[in-house]
Amino acid sequence: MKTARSTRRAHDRAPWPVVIVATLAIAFFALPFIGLLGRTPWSDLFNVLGESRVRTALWLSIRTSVASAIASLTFGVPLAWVLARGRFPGRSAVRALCTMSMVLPPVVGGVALFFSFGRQGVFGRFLDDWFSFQFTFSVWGVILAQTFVAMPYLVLTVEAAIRQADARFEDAARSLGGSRWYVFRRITAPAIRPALIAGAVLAWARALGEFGATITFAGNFPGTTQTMSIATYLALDTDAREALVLSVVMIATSFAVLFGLRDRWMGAATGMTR
Amino acid sequence: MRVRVGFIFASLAVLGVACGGNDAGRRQLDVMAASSLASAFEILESEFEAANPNIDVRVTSGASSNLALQIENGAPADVFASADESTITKVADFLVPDYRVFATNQLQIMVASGNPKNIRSLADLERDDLIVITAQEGVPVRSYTDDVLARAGVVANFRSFEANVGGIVTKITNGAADAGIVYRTDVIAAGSRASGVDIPADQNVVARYPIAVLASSTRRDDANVFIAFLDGLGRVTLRDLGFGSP
Amino acid sequence: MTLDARFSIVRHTFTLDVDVHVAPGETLAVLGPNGAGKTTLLRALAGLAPITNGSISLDGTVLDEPDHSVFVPVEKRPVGLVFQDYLLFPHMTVIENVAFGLRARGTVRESARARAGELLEWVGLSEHAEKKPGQISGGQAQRVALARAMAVSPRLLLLDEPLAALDVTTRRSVRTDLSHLLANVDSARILVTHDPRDARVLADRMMIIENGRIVQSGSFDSIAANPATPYVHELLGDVS
Repeated sequence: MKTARSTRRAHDRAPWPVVIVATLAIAFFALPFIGLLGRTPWSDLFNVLGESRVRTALWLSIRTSVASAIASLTFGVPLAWVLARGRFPGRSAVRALCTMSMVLPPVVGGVALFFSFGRQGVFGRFLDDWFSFQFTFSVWGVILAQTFVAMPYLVLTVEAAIRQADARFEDAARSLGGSRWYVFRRITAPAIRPALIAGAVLAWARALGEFGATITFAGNFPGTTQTMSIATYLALDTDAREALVLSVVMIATSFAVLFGLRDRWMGAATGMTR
Repeated sequence: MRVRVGFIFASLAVLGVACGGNDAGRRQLDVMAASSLASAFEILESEFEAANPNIDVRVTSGASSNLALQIENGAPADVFASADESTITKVADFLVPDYRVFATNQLQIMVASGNPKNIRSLADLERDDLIVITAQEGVPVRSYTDDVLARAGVVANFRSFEANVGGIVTKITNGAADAGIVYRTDVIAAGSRASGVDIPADQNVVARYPIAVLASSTRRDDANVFIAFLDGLGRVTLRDLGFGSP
Repeated sequence: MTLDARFSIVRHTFTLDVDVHVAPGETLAVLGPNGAGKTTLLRALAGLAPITNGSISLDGTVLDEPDHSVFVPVEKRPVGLVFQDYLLFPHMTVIENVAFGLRARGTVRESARARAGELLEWVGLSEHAEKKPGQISGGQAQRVALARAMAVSPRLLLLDEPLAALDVTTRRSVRTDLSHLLANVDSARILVTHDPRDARVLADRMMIIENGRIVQSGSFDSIAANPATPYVHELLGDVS
């Protein structure tokens, strides 16, 4: 006999067609990773990780992704502030421009960077003429490409948080004599700290995984521009074990990051609606 | 009711997209060709289709090593034209024996148009003030390059290893790099966008292009017709583009 | 400490047109229905809302005068604000809150803390100095907000519905405490409220705004004796 309580509980659970489709979706994501883990040469794992080319790529990826995360913070937070609090015409257009690299295929970003900041690029030629500096084939090119695709993740996360932060606290702080920078430093930044962290971590993870823009723009040289993603792609043609091991490392890292962030980043991923 | 109809249309759309389109009536022939053959095959494709209006040739190009990987994993192609024999030998199990060499090529140093950095020989590739690039290991042009440099006793100062020879050409023609070793045909194809510096014959290698039919192909007759065309009428075009005959 | 403000703010749906003068040591109460423009008035005086026409001067210094392109931003005005919800910074302790204005203006940490301590003593909350805002009561928070605003010695003190967030039982005692505290303050003071009892206890003069215009001003008794509009009559009806 169904009691009122058990009927009510049954209605609270998700309806079974939804559960079935959701399970298929979960399988859709899980199976490729399971397949890859099934082919991974586990006994060889540490040997491959010890190979100098793998270690070089790993170390380069770590250095560049951290640098890109820092660059994303430095430039992205002021941008987020302006987008959240600024009142100027064309704000939506500016936001769209600054987050475009999130939806564009990364290789398009790479093509754009190549033709604008490559040695003979529209702007790059001046860097070469005046400073003998070139982004292509240098680690700076890697950082530039990574920052280009990663920063929007931070901008959106932080912008959402600033919007949500009560502007009245800033009014109160300013009424007490705080300059805008002082107010940001002591009032706004502490209030948006979780978003700053989540945004920086997301940007870092995206930079770590960046491939299309990097290989198009920066080149491929071990130790300078051959990141883990590039090494994986190229390893597939020559040494599948290497490709598998590198993939496992990146999968483990990404999973740990997203799991660690819980749901704190979700506001950004859904994008802004206003 | 409306929801169900919508769902049906959505499924059909997905299936339709997945099945892809096809020129009505024509038989398809999928050719995988090395990067250095890409522009040549574009021309050869139109010439072949003009002579054989019932066949629609589709060319996919890339580094031979990458194409070989795809073939090993079941790519549904009919013909494979590689830039060196060692790559085609690697996938011999997937091909109808034997392959035939239908064209040859030679290497040349490609530099920016007008040779502004004054590169004269292979030895110049050791210079610190130049950005020299090549392809990554496994790509045929890289093996040929290694041979050439070994013969010349030169250790080049490479700054990047591109995914295929097309990448080398792009970086040089767009001014990002100063020099690289590519095929003569690439230099000719680049026209005014690049210049070439010859490699002495005793140091140069002859690149041999083998072509074969895939064992899994269901269109072997058409494939053989295409290969025969390359050996016959196609030879004129290949020669015009700078390829040699085997 | 003298406030001279005669200005208007024109917005899409609303216009505020006022003439306000407050002498040093004087408390002016501003009353009016919701949407009358009381909060806009305070924000304009504080510098959080620019005026459209007219001017605002404090002790002879012009703070806002659009015709002469003068606008002193809020952080540079010697104006203190006590907000309706107090807006104590939640991640700082009570004493850090009170010291905030001094630190913001460059005072060293020790001196700022010392002065903040004095002010906390003035409002009778010294033993709560290290607590967080979430750990004190509404009435205590109101006093902390007052101490925080007074820490930077403002020449004009603005209080926006200071008792509105309190429950009825505490309101009376807090009102009495506040009147004692304000008696010792020599800045000009403007108090916005919807409760005429606040005006009677805390203010020297009153001003009533309806729909962006001042409809009556003067002492409490004179207005109560002669209400100019039905709203005023209604407002002061059951106070006495």
